[in-house]
Amino acid sequence: MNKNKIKELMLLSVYGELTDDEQAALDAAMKKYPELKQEFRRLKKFSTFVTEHTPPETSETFLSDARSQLRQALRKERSVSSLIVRIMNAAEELFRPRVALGSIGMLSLGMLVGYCAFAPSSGGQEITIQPVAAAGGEQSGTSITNIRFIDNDASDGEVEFEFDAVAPVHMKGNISDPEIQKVLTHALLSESNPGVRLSTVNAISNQTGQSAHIDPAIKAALITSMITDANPGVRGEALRVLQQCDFDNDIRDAVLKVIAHDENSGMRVSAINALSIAKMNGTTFDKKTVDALKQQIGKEQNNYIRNRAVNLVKEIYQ
Amino acid sequence: MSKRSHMTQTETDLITRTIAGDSTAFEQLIFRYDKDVLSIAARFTRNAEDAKDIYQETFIRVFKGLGNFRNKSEFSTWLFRIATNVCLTHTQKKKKGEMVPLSDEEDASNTAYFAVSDSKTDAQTQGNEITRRIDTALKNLSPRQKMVFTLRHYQDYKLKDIALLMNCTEGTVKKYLFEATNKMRTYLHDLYE
Repeated sequence: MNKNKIKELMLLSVYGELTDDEQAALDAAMKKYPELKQEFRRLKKFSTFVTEHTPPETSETFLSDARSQLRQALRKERSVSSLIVRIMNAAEELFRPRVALGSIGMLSLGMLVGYCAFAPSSGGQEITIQPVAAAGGEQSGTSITNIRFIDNDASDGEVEFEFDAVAPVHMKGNISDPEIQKVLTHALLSESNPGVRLSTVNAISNQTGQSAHIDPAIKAALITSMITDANPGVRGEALRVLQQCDFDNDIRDAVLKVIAHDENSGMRVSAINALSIAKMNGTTFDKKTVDALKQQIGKEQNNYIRNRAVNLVKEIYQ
Repeated sequence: MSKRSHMTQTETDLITRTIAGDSTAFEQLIFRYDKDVLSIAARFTRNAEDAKDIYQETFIRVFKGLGNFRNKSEFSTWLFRIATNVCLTHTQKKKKGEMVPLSDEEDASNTAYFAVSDSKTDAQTQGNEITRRIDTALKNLSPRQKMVFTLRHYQDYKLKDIALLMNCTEGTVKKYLFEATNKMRTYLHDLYE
């Protein structure tokens, strides 16, 4: 038997976990190696020491405090479970064919009345809003969110709640229509998906391609997008569209901001090119533009951009 | 488990009533064992607030899982296995978001729950110092070593019962106990030799 095995047996012996055979083997080993007895005594002393310093039993106050907190936690747990069950039941009730058809009918009627009462005059432009909910049932795509219980006590057999029914809306119309532009502006500034923002800029681009005039709200949204959009692709596309518009002071100032602050060197190059093209198209630049370019020449790290800015300043002075 | 009585008819009845939604039955069921759960948690964490967190999480898990309890083991074994597991995972969670405790505050809170007198005699001061040294030594054990050491030394569980609670073999428990004892002896040798 090796030393480690003997030590293990000693420990187990202290805890009273040895079989008779193991205990006999340990006793024999200790007889053979008297120095082991000393180690066994130390181990026993350690065990006694630990036992003597066993943390006291938890007090009744502590237990009752813990129980009281547990009761609160369990009440919360039960109410959550019960609420989930009730929502499931209510949802089940809601999607019974008769109730569902009735709800959808009422929803469609409400939307129709709302549309007739509040829809602005289209002024000859064709705008069609098709609530997909009309198809009915789960195929309608209507989603129910934000269920708020007014009365969740079903003891009288009834529950009362409110919810938001969100329905997808299909829109088709002329890009110059204010309603369409309102949605596009919203998408440009608020849509989280950069692909959608890019598609929005492209849609606007088709309008500006036909005329240099652009709606002020759309222009403001494009400028905001060019300066602040997190995605350089969207910023670049917004710059490209703005280049096609009348190069007024708003657009010039925004382009100068891009040159001064955009971290993407490609964007800064595009912005300088935009000024250069505007100059070629007959736009005159004042001292403010030259000062801003000179300032950029002083701090620009990228040699190519610096040289482009120097050349542009020279072009402006010619 | 040798320490615990076999599951009684009453216990099965209490489980059935709890599943049916009887909250008093659940209390009757768990209050048979909750002092032991709190004791394990307190002795394992050596911290009153952590012990209460473990106590609460254990019984919430029991409440949620009671529907899946299949009477394959005794209720108490199932319960203490959950408690052991919560203790071990609590340590991991705490390590992830570990903050330096305000030791005085912690001591005050523990004093309130473990009924230590406020007026300190020399013997008490010495006793507190030993407790502090043991706490420090226990912190140097791995959670599993600490759990085996706590259950064996402070809760007087047999090794085969510990193996059952920790879902491992008795040999593994022996290994943890051997390692834990060696480490503790190294840290505390000046106090007991």
